[in-house]
Amino acid sequence: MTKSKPNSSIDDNHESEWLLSRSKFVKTLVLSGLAIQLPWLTSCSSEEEIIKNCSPLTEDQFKSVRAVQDILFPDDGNGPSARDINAASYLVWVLNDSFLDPEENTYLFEKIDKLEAYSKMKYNSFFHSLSLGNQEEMIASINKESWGNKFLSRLITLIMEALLLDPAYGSNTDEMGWEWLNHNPGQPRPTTKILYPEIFKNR
Amino acid sequence: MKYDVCVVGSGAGAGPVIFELSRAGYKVVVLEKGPWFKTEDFSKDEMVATRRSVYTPNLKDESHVLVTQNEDGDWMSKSTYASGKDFWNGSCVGGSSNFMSAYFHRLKPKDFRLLSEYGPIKDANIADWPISYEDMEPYYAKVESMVGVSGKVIPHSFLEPRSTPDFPYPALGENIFASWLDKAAAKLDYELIPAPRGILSRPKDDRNSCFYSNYCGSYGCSSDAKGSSRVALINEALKTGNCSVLPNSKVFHLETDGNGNIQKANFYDKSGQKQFVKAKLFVVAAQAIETSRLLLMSKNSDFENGLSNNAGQVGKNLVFSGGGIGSGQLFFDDLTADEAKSLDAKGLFINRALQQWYEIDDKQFGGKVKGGTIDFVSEHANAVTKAVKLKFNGDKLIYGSALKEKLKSYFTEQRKLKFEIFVDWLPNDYCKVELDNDVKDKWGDPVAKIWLGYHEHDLKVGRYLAEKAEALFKEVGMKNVQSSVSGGVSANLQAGGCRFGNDPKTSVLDKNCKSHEVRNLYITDGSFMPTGGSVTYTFSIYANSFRVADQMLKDPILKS
Repeated sequence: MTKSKPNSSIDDNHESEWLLSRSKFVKTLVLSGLAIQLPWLTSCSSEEEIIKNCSPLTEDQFKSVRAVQDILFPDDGNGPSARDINAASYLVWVLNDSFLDPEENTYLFEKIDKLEAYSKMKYNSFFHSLSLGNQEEMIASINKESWGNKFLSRLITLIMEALLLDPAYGSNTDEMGWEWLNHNPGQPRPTTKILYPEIFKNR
Repeated sequence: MKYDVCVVGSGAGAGPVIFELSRAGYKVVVLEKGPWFKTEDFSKDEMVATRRSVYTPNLKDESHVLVTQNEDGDWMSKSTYASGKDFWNGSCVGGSSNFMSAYFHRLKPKDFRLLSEYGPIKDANIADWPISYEDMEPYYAKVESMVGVSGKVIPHSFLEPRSTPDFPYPALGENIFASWLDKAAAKLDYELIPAPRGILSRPKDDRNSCFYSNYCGSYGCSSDAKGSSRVALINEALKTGNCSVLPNSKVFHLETDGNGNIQKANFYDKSGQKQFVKAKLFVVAAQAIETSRLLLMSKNSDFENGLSNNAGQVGKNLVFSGGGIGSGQLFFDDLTADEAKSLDAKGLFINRALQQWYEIDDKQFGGKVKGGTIDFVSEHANAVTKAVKLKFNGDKLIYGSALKEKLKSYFTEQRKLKFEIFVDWLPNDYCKVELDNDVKDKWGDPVAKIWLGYHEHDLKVGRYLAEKAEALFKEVGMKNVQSSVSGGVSANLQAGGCRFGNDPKTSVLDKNCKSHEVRNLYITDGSFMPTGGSVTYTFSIYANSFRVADQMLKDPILKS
């Protein structure tokens, strides 16, 4: 069997025509060291700061991913929404994680590009600029394709992490995910020194 | 400096040796490939415990190659880096004993003579142990006292002989579900027994008792109640001043002197530099797979096939503790408010087990066969793990309001309880460890290639036990009762690969777990086991390591 991470293969013949500029990858490499040295919550606390200083995504990419999350985990009156729990910010934090296998985040970048390319091809517009109806139709459409299904599945996994991990990671705002699902997180809770990836230091 | 003893690894197989030899005044050095997490480093952070590689190596740096059989009968190999199926478990000081659930069942006398008692099975390499239960019993009692085992002994058909009337620590607090199981078992005439745990219910020395955190397996213990090798034994060894622990020290080669003695353990330090230590005796306890791998990597002109492998036995007859799992659900709407509240109480244990079919006498098997153990457990509290599983309805990905409704219902309207089945994994020619020819770790050394073949007989026994467990759950009134019996393995429940025996042609170690071929090498993790019994291995690994430590103290090499 060949060596390839699950979910990471580019499975569309026209991928190369659709891929957008990769210039953001350079920024990723620079930021990856920065993110684990600076307290994330203070340096990247607002959406403006995240887009400007912390995100390897372009502003349009960030907004489109956030729009996808809005559909995957909507504000429907049943518990917190993706926005309530800072799921987009959490995703950016994951994208800046230099301890993760780079292929995992490369996969996400590729599929975010693919989403945007698909949106531009079909509607000549960024995903985040589409009407809600068109966004929902497009999500349903890509969910039927192998690459889209895997991409959405990965995004949902990251939303579940944002919903239910300790708020110290910048998501699960005010423990609203735990409260909604009546989840007892257990004691002791992590202190700053033993959060991931700080726990690696000096050991 | 030349040490008296060099121990490779620091988990359950290493701890007793480290403890006993340090206390006896010998200078012991411990080479542990992982970092040294202390108790204060542990929290109930699901991110650290299960969502990222913190207690285990990054798969890009260190992987395994797994070989499994597909539906066409072909054996296919794939690296764990490629598949994402992580086979590491607890790479740090104390090893996986930090993260165990600590179900501490003893083996039974018949487990030591499986071949003699039940006869051969085609395509299974069953062998009797060269020691008896009576040889091990004092050391089980020692573990119960030194490491700390809680529970309550009650008479039952397969209760093993004991030198003490009961466990030294009383049973842990129980969830109301345990009493419901008791009532259902009585109706079915089942011998449901309390499950012993390697967890303190009362303080011991510097260790506090269990505080019912609700997060036990996969998590380091914050009260030191769980009997990890690190807190129960290594911390005590350090107090003697005779023990040195070197974390982040990955041993890659044991160097011999041409006369059948190991001179040096060569290792990479944290910065990747090659270092070595010298000692009189060497103990390898790196967990079964990595122990076999190290011996195979330590080939030289004296041992062309690998250290202690002139008979070609190293890596052979790997076994796992497993058999199947099952579950059922109780919905709060079907219970009274008080019952629902008690069932939903966090942290208390189920701690019930069935060993009534440890030996099966049923005509469908054509005579008596070895059966197994069923442990009853709560679903783990890991929230993200549970939530992620809910994103699928069958094969269909769900999202949006449908996903949120499913989450809300699962987390707040029911509790899932589970059972785990442990059969006697039959050793066979397709369950073994080799060195992979292609995949290397970050240091450039070949990774372990692990064949995961299982015997169909195991599945038959597993299904028999699953039916018994399912019947009990249904008697309780549970819904959606189901089970899955397969040859799948839990990576943390591994043994064999360097089996002990009296014949050097068919075993790697003698009855005292000393190499037949290398005069100053002992192996004290689960590698020694020719068969593993129908329970998890850690308790027996601890007991055997205490037994071997007593033998090492008599070794003339140590006294030279």
